[in-house]
Amino acid sequence: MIELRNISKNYGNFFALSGVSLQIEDGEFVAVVGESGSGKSTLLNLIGQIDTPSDGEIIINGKTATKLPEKEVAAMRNKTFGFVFQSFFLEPTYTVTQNVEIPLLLAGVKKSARAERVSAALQKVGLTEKANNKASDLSGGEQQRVAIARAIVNDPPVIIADEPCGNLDTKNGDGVMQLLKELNGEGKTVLMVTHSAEHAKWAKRIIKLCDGKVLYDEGSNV
Amino acid sequence: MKVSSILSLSVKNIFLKKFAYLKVLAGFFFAFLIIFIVLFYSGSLSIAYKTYENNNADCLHYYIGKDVSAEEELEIRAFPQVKSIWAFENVSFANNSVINLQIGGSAFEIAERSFYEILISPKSDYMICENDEIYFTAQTGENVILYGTQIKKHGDIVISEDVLDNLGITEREELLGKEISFSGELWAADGEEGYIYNESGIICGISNEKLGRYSVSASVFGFLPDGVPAAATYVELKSFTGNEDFFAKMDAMFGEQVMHTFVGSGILDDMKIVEGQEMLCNRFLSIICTVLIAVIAIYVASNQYYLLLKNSVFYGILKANGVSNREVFLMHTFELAITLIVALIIAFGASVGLFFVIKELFYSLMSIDLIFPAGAAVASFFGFFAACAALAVLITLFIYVKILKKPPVRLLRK
Repeated sequence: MIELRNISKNYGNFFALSGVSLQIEDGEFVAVVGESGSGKSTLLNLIGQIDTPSDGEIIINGKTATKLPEKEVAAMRNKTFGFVFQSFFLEPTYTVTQNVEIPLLLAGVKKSARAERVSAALQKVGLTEKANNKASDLSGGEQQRVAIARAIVNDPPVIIADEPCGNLDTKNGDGVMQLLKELNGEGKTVLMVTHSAEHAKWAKRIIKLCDGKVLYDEGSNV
Repeated sequence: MKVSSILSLSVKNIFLKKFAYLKVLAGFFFAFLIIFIVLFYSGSLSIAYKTYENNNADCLHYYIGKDVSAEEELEIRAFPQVKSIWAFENVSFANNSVINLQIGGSAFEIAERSFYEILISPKSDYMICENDEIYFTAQTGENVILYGTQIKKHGDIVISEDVLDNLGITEREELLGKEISFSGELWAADGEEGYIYNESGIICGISNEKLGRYSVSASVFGFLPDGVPAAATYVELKSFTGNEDFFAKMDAMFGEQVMHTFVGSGILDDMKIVEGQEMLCNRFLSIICTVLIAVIAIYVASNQYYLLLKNSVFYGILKANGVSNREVFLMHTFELAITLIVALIIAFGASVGLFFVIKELFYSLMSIDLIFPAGAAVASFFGFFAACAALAVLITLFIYVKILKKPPVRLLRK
């Protein structure tokens, strides 16, 4: 379970998030929507521990992440979260396999196990035949599927997807949404930022932000 | 993550981004190459100079025509440039020197006097060479040939004023063109058979009476009449230069009994060239090094910026996937250190090769034999090796504080 208590993030006088409190249960599929600059991505970055709040507490599975040493936070990111970004952030000179196996390398998984898990992740996103291709040689849709494979290869309980379909056409976007839904169906918590009302409908819960505050929270189990 | 895993990831990253790293490596390579070449060349000249001086300093010694007393020896040893002193006792090789000398048809007999009287004849391949003249003039401020000319052709003979004084011959210019013949036995030590000579020719010049004391002994044919002392002392000096005080003291103490034996000022000239080159090279080196340090600093900064642009998202993703600040610091340090050290090793090998090409070039064009400064080369390699490691840590530390330490999202925005 993820709990945010009175979280704020400011850049000088500008408050990207202001006093946000939320609870996200395991297995939820949450879409965070809102205008540009409303604080959607900031909220996900803070939950995923890739950014630090200016104020407030974030509790993840009972641990106050904001009070943990940096090394433990890093370990938490490795075990708990899988990230999917709008710009994919793949390493273009690496092959698909090399990109996907990065979280496993960092987790210290042995080579034989790595190959098996990378293969399984690629099979899930339908890219087995592209395993040895350079990331830069793939289409945008394929690159995002590689990014999803990288996000799930370490089997994290939470998938954080920041505008996963932002750079994709409708067909590829729907494909990615289908993948995220399947992952949620397998029990993973999916937190997604989107501009698209259509994509938001795939989620069970929609949180709308406006000026760094929660405007509404529909479908919450809490 | 284990340090070995981080190192392995760093190596993998370098290989997978080889073109980006090759650019960085190329810059470091050329910088190291220039530094090594300048170092080797400078070191080589330094060795050449010292070797030349040390080897030839053995040839520089004073011959004192007597057995010096203990007090005198103490005085001599007080000079820091004195390398060693040794004495010869029972020097008796001048018992039968000139036995027959004829000048212009008149016979003469050399009286017992000193040990540096000289006749010079080209027949025995002896002549006053240019080096002798230069050295003599430098030491005495006088000319070697006082009347007539140097030996120019077969049959020319130069006779020393000292011989003429000894024989009581006062004419000088009148002797030029007159026939001279001499025969006898030289260097017959302790009754053994000496060098038998029998020469004749035309007097072409009359040399300075001091020549015997200042000439390079190897190229001047001198003979020792009776009267050479029964003992002699050699004083070997450490260096060609800086002996003026010693010269003055020896002359004051022993006067005509002192004989300079010297390899010649040609060597001094060579040494001046080598010394000049060394000085020039050292100046060049210091300028080059200063410029290089500035260029390398700019290059390193721009390359790091380029690499960081190339790698910041990658480091961001690594951090998002669980790499800690310490681990990303180590990874960057390893990548930079590996690049630097690989560049260093290649540059070292290339510069050694290039040095030998330059060495061949120098030898064929200028007959200067450069010696590879192996000791300095190895020391500089390991010095640079350590410097590379330190540089990698320092640069990474700066980048870490400025960039790598920031939360992953900040790296992903780069």
